[in-house]
Amino acid sequence: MATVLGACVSEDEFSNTPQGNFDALWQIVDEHYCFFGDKAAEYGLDWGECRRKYSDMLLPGMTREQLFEVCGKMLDELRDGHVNLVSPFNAARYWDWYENYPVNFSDSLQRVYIGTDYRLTCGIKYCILPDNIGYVYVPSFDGGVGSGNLDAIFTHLRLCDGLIVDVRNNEGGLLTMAQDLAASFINAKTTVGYIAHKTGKAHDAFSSPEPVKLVPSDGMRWQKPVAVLTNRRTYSAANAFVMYMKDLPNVTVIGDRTGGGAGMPYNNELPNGWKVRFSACPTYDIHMQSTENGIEPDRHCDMLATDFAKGEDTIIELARRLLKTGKGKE
Amino acid sequence: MLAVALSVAAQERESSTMLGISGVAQWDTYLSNERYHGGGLTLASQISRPTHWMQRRLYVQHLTQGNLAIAEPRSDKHKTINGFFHWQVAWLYHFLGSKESGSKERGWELNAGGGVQTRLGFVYNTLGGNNPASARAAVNIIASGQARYHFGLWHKPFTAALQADVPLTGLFFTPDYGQSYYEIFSLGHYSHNVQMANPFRAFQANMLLTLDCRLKARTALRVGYQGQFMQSKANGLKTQDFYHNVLVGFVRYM
Repeated sequence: MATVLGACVSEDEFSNTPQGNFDALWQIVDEHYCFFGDKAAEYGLDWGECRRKYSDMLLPGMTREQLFEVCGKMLDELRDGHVNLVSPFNAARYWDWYENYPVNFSDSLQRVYIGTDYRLTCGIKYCILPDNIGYVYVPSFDGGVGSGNLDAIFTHLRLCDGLIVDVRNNEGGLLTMAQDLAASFINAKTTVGYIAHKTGKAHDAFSSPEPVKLVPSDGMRWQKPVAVLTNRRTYSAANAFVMYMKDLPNVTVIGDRTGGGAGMPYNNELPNGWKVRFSACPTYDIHMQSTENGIEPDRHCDMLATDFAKGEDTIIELARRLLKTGKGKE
Repeated sequence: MLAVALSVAAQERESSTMLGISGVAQWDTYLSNERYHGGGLTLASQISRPTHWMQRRLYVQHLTQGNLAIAEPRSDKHKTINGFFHWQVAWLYHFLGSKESGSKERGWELNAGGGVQTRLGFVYNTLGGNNPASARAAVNIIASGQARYHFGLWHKPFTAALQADVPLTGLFFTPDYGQSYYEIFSLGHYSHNVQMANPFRAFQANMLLTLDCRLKARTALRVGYQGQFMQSKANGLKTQDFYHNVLVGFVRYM
C-alpha cells in the first residue's frame, strides 16, 4: 500500500554521485533562490549558463574536495552572503560584501569607550559615555532578548541626552530580536518594510509583498535622538534592524553602507549530506526597494587612521557630536 | 463457553491500549529534498461502545494516538524529529454477523461507517535555518470499514480484525511554497495555508490489523500491525509521512 500511495506523491531522487550532487545543488537553488531577477538585472546572472559552465568541470573520479570546489564556485556566481555550501571539511561562502571594504570597526577602540565594567545583558553591552550619551553595542541578533532585558538597558540609560546603537560587525541572527529592539523606538504601530516569498519554482513566482509592522514595546520606549552605527559587516537581521530604524524620525544612521543580506535564508541538503543555504524570502524597505545590496547611511563616515592613532573611533565621535548638537539627518 | 465469551465481547464496551514500535519513512520538500527513514514509538488507545441507535447496531469508536520518531537521510548527516497526535471518532454500522445474539461461535462480522479525523503534528529538521520545521494539521471526514473474524484456537477465543480508515475530504494546513513560518506566526501573513483535501492531492489511509486472544473473561492480549499513510501535494510542496507500527497491548471489556 505504501508503494501505491508513494506513487501518488513522488519525485525522482538524485544519485549520490558527483553529477547527482551537482544537479541536486543546481536544482535546489534554481527552484528556491529569490534574487535571480535582481542579479540578472545587476550583472547579468544566467543560472542556466552557470550549470553548463560548471558541469563541464565534473569528472567521474573526482574527489569530494574537487566536487566541493566546483559547487562552491558555481554558488559564488550568486554573489550572495546568505549562500553557503557546508561540508564536514569546508564551508563555501561569499564574503566580498565586507572583505572588499574598510573595516570601520575596532574592538580595541571600542574598549577605550566602554572600558571593562560595562553592563552586559543577552550579549548586549551598554554604558554611559562621559558626555552623557548612552552607548549600546549589539554584536549579534542570534539570541533572544526579553522586554525585561531591554527595560533594564533603557532604565539605566534613561537620563542620557542621546543614544548610540552600534550594530557594526553584527552579522544578523533572528529577525524577531531585531524587531523587539526596534519596537523600543516607536510609539505607534509602524510599517517598517515588506516581505514576500516564492510561490513556485519559476524565478519570478512571488507572493505580493506584505507589510512588516512593528508594534510598540510594552516596556520602556526611547524618545530621545538615536544614532545607529553601521559598517559593511552589518548584515542580514542587523541590516533589517537598520532598515526598520532608518525612517524613524529621531534616528540617524551613521557609518558605512550596510552589507545587505535582505533574503531570509533557508537550508536544504544534497544527497551526500552537504548543507546548502540560500536566500529564500526577499525583504524590502518601506519604499519597496530591496536592501539586498545594503542600506546607505544618513551620514557616511569612515574611521580615519589619524583618529585611530589618537585612540578615537571616528564614527562614534561623529555620532556623539550629532547627538549633542541635535543635528541628525542631513 | 466460547460462544458466551464472544457474546460478551460483542455487546460491551471495548477499550484497548497499545504500545508499538514504528518504522518511519518521511519526506517533506519544504524542509529537504531528501527522504528520511527511521524509527520511533507509538501509543494508541481505541475505545468502541454500542449506542442506543439503530437497534444497537451502531457503534461509536474513538481512536487516540501519539507518534514520536527520529529519522535520517541516506547521508546520515542530519535528523528529523517527528511528532504526531491523531484523534478520530467514527460511527460504524454493524452489517453482518450478530453482535447482539452471541449465537455464533465463529464467523465474520462486518462494520462500516464514517466519522471525523483530526491530526496535529510537526517535523523538525536539524538542518536548521529559517525553515527548520514543518507543521501538520488536518481535519477530515473519513470512511471506515472493519472486518472481524471470531474463532477459537487452543480452547481460547480469538478475534482477528482489519480496519481501514480513508479520508474523503477535509482541510489541511500547509505553508506556501517558499513561505516562512516567521511570516505566518510572527507577522500573521497567510498565503493559501488552508487547503481542501481530497484523495488526489492528500490521499491518506490508516490501516489496523489486530489479533486478540482472550486471556480472561474481560481481558485480551492484542498484537497488531498498523499502517499510517499520510501525504499531501499542495502549493508546490510534497509531504509523505508513512508509519509502519508493530503494536502490542491489552483489551478490556467492560
